[in-house]
Amino acid sequence: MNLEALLLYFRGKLTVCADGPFTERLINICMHRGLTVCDVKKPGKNRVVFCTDVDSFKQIRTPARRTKSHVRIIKRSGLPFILKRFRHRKLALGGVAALCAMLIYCSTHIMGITVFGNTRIDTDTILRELSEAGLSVGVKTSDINSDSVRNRLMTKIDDLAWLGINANGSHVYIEVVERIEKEKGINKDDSPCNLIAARDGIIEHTEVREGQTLVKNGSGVAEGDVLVSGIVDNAAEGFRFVRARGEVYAETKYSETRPYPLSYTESTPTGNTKKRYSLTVLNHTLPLFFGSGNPYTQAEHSEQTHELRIPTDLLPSLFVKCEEYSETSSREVKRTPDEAIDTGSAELSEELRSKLPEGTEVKAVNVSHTLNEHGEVEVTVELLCRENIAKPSVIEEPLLDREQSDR
Amino acid sequence: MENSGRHKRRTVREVIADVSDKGHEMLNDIFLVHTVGRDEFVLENYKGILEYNDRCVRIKTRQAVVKVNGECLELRNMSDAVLCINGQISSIIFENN
Repeated sequence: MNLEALLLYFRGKLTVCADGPFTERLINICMHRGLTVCDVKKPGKNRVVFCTDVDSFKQIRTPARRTKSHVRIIKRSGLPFILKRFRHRKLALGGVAALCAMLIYCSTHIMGITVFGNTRIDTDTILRELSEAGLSVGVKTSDINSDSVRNRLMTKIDDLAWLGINANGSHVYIEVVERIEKEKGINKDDSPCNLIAARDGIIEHTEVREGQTLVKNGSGVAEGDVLVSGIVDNAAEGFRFVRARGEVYAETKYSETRPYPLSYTESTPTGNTKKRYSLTVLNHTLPLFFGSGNPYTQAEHSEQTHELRIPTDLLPSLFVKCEEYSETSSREVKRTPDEAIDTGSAELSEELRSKLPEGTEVKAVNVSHTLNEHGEVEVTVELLCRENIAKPSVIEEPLLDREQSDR
Repeated sequence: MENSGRHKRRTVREVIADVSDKGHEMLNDIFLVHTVGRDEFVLENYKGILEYNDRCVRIKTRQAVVKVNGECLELRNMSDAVLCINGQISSIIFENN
């Protein structure tokens, strides 16, 4: 479609049929009067079909009379006729206007923010800080000041090493680079310190690389006792402050006691499930169900959210949330003391193992039980472990000051 | 177009065209023809259409009558100075007025 055809479409295109003995003369007069005539075809000897616009057709009456031609419209097309057809359909016109307004709004405002590259920093924290810095869903894309947002977040979030803000259409991608985490176990700080016991235990083995060992194998220590001193007494040099290093392995105990009743309530699924869907767009949620969310008096609840995003990022992401409610029923269950002990033993043992520090070796598991006054079985699980209980403790400043003044 | 051996008298328009270094066709209403392959024929500075059907179009210009023969001929774009004919053009003939 060339420019003239496009202009003709906007002005309103009329396909006109002229019958008469002097059709060529009619075309000539139209041309000399500057009327729009194009796509002239001659389907018959005394007939000519051509296209013109609405304004030219109004002026074609005089040439038609002079050439004794009968002119009639055989087809109307173009924008004015389409608008005329929709003249009485106000809702449709309103819908088109609303769609245009929505498209303009969606293409000029932020419709979604994606944060990636973060492992330690919480995404919600970043989004909250971005919102406070003026970058949130619904803000005009032209109002984004990347430098200001970046500077604010760099000062607000300590673990942030670099922040990239890339606006692609109406979607903003936040690329996060975090600071390198300090390597665990290697403390480059050389300030003098002792190694103290992290918990009670019986010393089994010591591996001291620096400092003066104060405990022997087989001796018991309490939490906080100094195991390796950072103050080294040397006959030649006198007292010297060092950073004590090494591992002190000890036998430690972890125990847990819990009562287990011989009858308890257990909830079992009945097999009835119902799903509740809801749509979320631009932080507005539209439930696709009637009534309350939970259809059962007693149910287990789980939910999943799917993001539907248009690849062009022109429109906001649509989140479809599916909540599943599984009905459960309660029933009274009775168990023997042995079953209660087995359950308690497994449960408590699992709990204690999950609490053990890394590198701890479990040497033995002791289980004991008693019957309390409520008729419940009190199960006690005790783990005998072998672990490194040494932890550094900085030597207090007065001691150091005194040493410096002695020198 | 004069075939006689006598010296042709120059018109005022021709003299102005020579002096002003403008195109002759602009000042003297000389028709200008160009074709795009055999499918499109464009004629500038025409006066009117003498005859038109889908096999033949005769167009009047100041100097001659241009006859375009062919098949499925259509007057595509028209203005008061430029005429564009589309179709399978077989011949273009210049006839004396």
